[in-house]
Amino acid sequence: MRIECPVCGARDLREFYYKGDAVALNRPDRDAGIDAWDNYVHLRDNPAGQTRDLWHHEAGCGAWLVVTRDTTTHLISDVTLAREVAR
Amino acid sequence: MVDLILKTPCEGLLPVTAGTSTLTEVNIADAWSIAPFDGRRDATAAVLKKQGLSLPDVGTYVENGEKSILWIGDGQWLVFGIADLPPLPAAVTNQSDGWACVRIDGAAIDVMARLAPVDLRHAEGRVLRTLVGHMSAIVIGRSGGVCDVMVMRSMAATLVHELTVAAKGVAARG
Repeated sequence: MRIECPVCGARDLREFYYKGDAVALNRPDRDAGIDAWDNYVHLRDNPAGQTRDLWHHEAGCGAWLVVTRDTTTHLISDVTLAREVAR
Repeated sequence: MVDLILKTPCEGLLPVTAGTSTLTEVNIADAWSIAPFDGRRDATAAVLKKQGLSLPDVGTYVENGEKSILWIGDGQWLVFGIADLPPLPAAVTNQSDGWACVRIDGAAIDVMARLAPVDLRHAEGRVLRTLVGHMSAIVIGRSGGVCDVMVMRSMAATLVHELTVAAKGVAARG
C-alpha cells in the first residue's frame, strides 16, 4: 500500500504510523456532557466501507494526515494534512 | 582538565569499498535544526538571507560555499556550516555532532534501492526523508548519482553495516 503524502508524494506504507479514527480532531467542549465525552473517548464505529483515519508520516516529513480509505477495497480516496482539517 | 579527543561519528568504520561502491564519511561541523514559529517562516528566511542562504522548498537543499540548508521535514530545516547562528523566530536546536553522514559513490542508486522504499534515479538536488532498513534517515541526492545518507549518530555503525552489505550484494549480482 502507498499513501500520497501531501508534502512528500506517494510513499510506501512502512514510512507511516497508524493512529486511529480521525475523531481526535473533533474534541468536545469541556462541558459537553458525559455522553459526548464517552463517545469521544471510547466509542468507535467499525465500518465496512469508508473510514477517516489519522496517519503519521513518521519516517518521512513528520506530518499528521487524515486518510480517507475504504476498508473493503483498501482504496484511498483522499489524503489531507491534519492541520488543515483541524482549522 | 580532561583532554577530550574529538571523534567523528564513523571513525574507525569508514572508508569502505565494496564492489564498485565506495563509502566515505562526510564531516558535519556545525548543525542546527530550525523550525520557524507559526507564521514566522518569512521572518526566519529574512534573517538567513543575511547569511547568504534561503530557506529551501520542500524536498530540496541550498548551498553557499561551506554553508547549506536542508529541508528535513514538515516545517523543519537543518542548517550546516554556521558556527554562531543569529537569533531566529524559530525553535532552534544545536545538533552539531548529532548526525552521521555517509557518502556513497559508485552504485549508490542500486545500493539504496535495496534499503530504502524510494526511487533515487531522479533525486539529484533533492532531499528525502525516508527509511534505511529500519532507521529514519535523510537522503541527499548529489550530482553524478552520488548519494549522502544521514542518520542519528548513535546509528552510525548500523548504517555502515547496512550499506556495506547492500553494496556487496549489488556487486555480487554483477
